[in-house]
Amino acid sequence: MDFAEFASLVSGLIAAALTLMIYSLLYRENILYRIAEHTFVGIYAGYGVAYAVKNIMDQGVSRISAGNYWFIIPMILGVMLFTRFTVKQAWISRYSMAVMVGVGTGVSVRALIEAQIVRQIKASVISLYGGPFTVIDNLIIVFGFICAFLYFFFTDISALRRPMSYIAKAGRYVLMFTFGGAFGGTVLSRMTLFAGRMQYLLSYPAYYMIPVFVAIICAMIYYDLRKKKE
Amino acid sequence: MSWARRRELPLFLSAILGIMAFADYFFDIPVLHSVVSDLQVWIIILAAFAMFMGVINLTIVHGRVVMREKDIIRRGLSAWTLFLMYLMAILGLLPPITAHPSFRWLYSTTVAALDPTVYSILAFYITSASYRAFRARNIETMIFLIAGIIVILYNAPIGGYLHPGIVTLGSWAMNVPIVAGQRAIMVGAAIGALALAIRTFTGRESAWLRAGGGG
Amino acid sequence: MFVPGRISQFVIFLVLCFFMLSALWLSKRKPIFKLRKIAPLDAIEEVVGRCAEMGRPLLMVPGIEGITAQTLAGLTVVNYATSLAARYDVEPIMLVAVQDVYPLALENVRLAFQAEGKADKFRPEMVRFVYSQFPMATTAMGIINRQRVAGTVMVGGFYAETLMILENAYRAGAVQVGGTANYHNIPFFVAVCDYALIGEEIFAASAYLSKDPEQIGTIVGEDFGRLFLALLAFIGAILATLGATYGKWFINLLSI
Repeated sequence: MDFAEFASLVSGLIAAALTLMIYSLLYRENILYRIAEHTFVGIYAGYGVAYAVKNIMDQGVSRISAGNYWFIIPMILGVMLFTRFTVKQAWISRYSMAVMVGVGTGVSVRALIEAQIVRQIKASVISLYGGPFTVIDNLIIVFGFICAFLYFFFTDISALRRPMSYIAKAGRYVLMFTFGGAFGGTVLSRMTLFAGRMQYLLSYPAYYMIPVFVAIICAMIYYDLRKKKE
Repeated sequence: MSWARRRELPLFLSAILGIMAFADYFFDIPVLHSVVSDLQVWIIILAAFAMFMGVINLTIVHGRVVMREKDIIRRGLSAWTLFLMYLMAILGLLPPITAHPSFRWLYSTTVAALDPTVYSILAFYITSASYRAFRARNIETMIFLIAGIIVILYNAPIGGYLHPGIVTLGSWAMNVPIVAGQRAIMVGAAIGALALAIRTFTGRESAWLRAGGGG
Repeated sequence: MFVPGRISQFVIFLVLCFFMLSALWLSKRKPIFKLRKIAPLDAIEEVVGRCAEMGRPLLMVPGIEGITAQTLAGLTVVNYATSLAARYDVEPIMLVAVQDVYPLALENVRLAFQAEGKADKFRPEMVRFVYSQFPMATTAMGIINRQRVAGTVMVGGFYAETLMILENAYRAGAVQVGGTANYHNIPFFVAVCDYALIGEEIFAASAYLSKDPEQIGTIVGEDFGRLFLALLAFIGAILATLGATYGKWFINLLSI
């Protein structure tokens, strides 16, 4: 066995062990789960740091060294963020946060106007005349949408309270049907994910870890039962 | 410098930048377009700096446990987290950045195994949640249950074998009532987000700038 | 001058902004209307109260999105819950999975403690940064089980981690308030949470909780915008019923 094969075997065994350690939470919270949890957090944070440095180099430093001095500003704003940890200078970081909030909110909300407003209204432009089934379906689509949309009406206008309550009720039924459908739609995909993980555990070299894990869980159950008796 | 401490100034800055982002979406102004795309790169850079703030936080949280905690297991686990974080960061910074074989090995050994595992654990939780969700207690939960069962059977290969009508019914549910509800959620969320943006830019929403609970 | 195909979007945007801004302006002195009851938001006090009663921590997550409208809405709710936690001496634990959000979250919690006159009790560890979605979910599950969290407030942009956190908190006996505008994950909040905010209800939180007339004004404006959009959809359907040409004309009008 050469080094590459050995490294891949070790990697496979550790990966399988971590997989089983996460599943151990399904019995109860335990030290194995905690080790996997802390490993996950530590590794991911380090991974994030490496990519953060890469982003600063690729997006900031390289542009500045190419003569695009405008990018010095985000570097300064980035350093200003750290004043958040002080008491007296914390206000400085508000400027960096203002940039993040302004651009972040603007860019994320502007995209909704087309995708979530105009396109949806356009899709409601359907004929309410035709064969009996088409008429019923289209009536449900148009009025189901309007009722469910008006369900969210927040303003409390006393004159409209009664008619609004009927519309809101119909809207709530449409929403509950939609949520039931969305819930049902997710069930099978989650099962598929789990089946994929089981297939992985039954492959080489992961299956070596299964007896070890079963033994540990049995020991844990035995320990818990004894503790309960005492 | 007392003027710089005022909360109005950062608020004004965020409003200007937000309005620029909106204006860039509607108007074809090349200068504005290049400024806004640069601003989006600024955000990537700022996020990278914020990552270091997060690292400081992790170091404080776990460092305190290592220094002060009496429980040896908790101390060990926090030390392990810090060790792995710094190890992974150092390996990631070895040239070529984020592509060193040791960095890749550690990634594929841990993250590549843990990500899908944690995701797959949902199979158990969705089963227990279904048990509660699919108990018909009133008309609303009954509707939830019916829609859930129709869609599960529609998606499962067995549905079509049980009765061909299930496929028709499932496809009707997906394309008629579910579309209506989904559309209501989407349009509603969009105008809600727009109202929030307006409150943010006029300084009514920003919990991060205003002292005071409840808003 | 306009980006092709966005004139109609701009007009709709202007109409919506007009409703919201004019209602905000009209409500400067006193609210022109009241808001209906949003039970999940009223229940936050119950959640924090239960944590105080049991002497256990309160877990809060403002979603896993970067700085988006949903995250800001989540932070507002979290700010309110933290204020209550500070008032009742409950230990708040806030998990943040995205680095951009971390400085905002930290500021938020600090301000909430300051507003309650308990700035000395604020500790940076109350806001824990756990990078990325699944490590955050794993930590949340661990914390819920180890510290027997008695309440959770989860409002913001949530994805696959939703059910992991909600189910573990349910098993730990926590009272839960949560909500998202992400369509695929709303059912989980509806199914598991004691009090679920549905879709855009999360955005109304700040106005509802603050009872500030101007903020309520924007919600009233939003409702007028809602009526306008519902009317637009209705007119579109009527035109399409009158004839395919009219329907097409209306779609083309919206595509200008």
